[in-house]
Amino acid sequence: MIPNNEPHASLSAEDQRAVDALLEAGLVDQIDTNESAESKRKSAALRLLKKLESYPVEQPDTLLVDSTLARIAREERAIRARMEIHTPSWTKRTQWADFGAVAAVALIAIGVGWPIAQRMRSAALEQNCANNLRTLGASIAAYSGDHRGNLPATASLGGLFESPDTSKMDWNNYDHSGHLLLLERNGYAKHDSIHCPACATRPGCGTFAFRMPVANTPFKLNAMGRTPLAADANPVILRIRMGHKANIPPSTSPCSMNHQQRGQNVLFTDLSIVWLPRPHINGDNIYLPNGVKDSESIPLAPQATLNNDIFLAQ
Amino acid sequence: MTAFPHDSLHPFAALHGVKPVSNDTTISIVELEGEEISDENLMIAHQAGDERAFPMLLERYRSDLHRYLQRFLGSASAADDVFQETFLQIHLSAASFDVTRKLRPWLYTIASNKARDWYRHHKRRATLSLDKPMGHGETEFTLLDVVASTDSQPGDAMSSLEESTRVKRVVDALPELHREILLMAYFQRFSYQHISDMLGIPLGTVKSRLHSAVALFADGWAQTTHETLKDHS
Repeated sequence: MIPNNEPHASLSAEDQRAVDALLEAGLVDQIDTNESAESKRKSAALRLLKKLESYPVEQPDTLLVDSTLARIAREERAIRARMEIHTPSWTKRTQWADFGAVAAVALIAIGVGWPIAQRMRSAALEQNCANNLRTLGASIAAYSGDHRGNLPATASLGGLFESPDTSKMDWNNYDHSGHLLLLERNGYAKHDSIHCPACATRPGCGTFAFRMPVANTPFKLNAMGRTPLAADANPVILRIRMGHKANIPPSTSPCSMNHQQRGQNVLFTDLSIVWLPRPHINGDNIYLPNGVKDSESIPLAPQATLNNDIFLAQ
Repeated sequence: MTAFPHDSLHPFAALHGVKPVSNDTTISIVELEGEEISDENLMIAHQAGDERAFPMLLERYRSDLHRYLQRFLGSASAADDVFQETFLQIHLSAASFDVTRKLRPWLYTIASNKARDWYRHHKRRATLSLDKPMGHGETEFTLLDVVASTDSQPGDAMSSLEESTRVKRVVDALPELHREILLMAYFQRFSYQHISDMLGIPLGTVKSRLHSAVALFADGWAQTTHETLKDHS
């Protein structure tokens, strides 16, 4: 197809056949002696085409081959130079050195950054824990106000953990969380506000530790003075639920496990929140019954026996 | 002389990933001495790193290709330039050459592409008007008419130099596509099918374009003949 902008020209059909026949025969002059019209036409076409041979051409320069080879050599050098610029011989060595440097920087960054990140995360969890305890305090106050000053308490408990043997009221079978769950069931508290967020995923952690009531004694908010009411989870109970023995090794920190045993948030009866680095109030461990010292064997029956006994369990 | 072993490949061949066919295969021009070395064998030797092969190939096509380019481009210096470009491209693309195929069509395809590039770069335009239609209307004339009216001139006034000048004027004025196909068919003796393959156009287009090229040449030739006769009279 000839483009439209090219000059229009065409041969007659007879001439086309003559040209085609010539080319197919390799442009051999096949002039027949019979002087047929077809032969004359082919002869005329050939004579016309032979005029092309008059086109003046110069002999190529004798140096053409050499100059071409020289140009190729120049191009080779240029290509090599470009490749050397882009892929120097020391590239591989440099890559390993770079990799090592990047890895070292990454390790340093992780070594420095990880503890910082962990500290920031711990601080955030401590703050969230304190916020939850504050909400819990408000819920307890609301419940107490609606129930003639009584704190939430349920005889049937119905806590978070299934008791294997409810006839045995030892640490393994005791579940104190039902008192706080009562707040949730009655709409005084949301589920999240009765837990420390730091132990939300830890098995056996349960709710916040809550003040253990003394049997046959009114369990009222305004009858206690300013004493601890709830706190981070009790580490003694958590250890037992995790399968450890019921005595506390001397080297074991008495602090709650919620915050890497660095301390614990404590909700007081005046609804204030205090961070205690150690779980002691006037020498009394808030996670153990009255009279039980740290690192001693704890009693089989977890009970508070005195009104002024500060004993928080979950 | 010895054959080039694989571990002494021409550096440029190695640079461009030219690999020998197998460990036992070396191509040596010496082994082929005394017989006609085909273009394709020269390319194989060149691919294998024989530094003598490529100059031989260049020398072989020096005259033929250069003439083709001169006729195509209308200038010997332009032909020099495009000749070098062509063989540089052949050299750079040597690794991709399929040795089972003929080299010559590949070479002329590259040369024609380079020549067209040269044209585009120099924005050369035809200077001779050749828009007079042939083969229709009252002015219809055939190749017989053209040859009869231009071959035998009274007094044989046309010298060979004059004829050369006129042929050059007419050929140079042909459109690029027509000139290319006319040169390929007449001087290089490529078949219609070869030209179709080389230019990547259908066979019918090759034929119609060649017919058109012959018609334009005949028309231009007739015009210059009449102008010359007018001048002489």
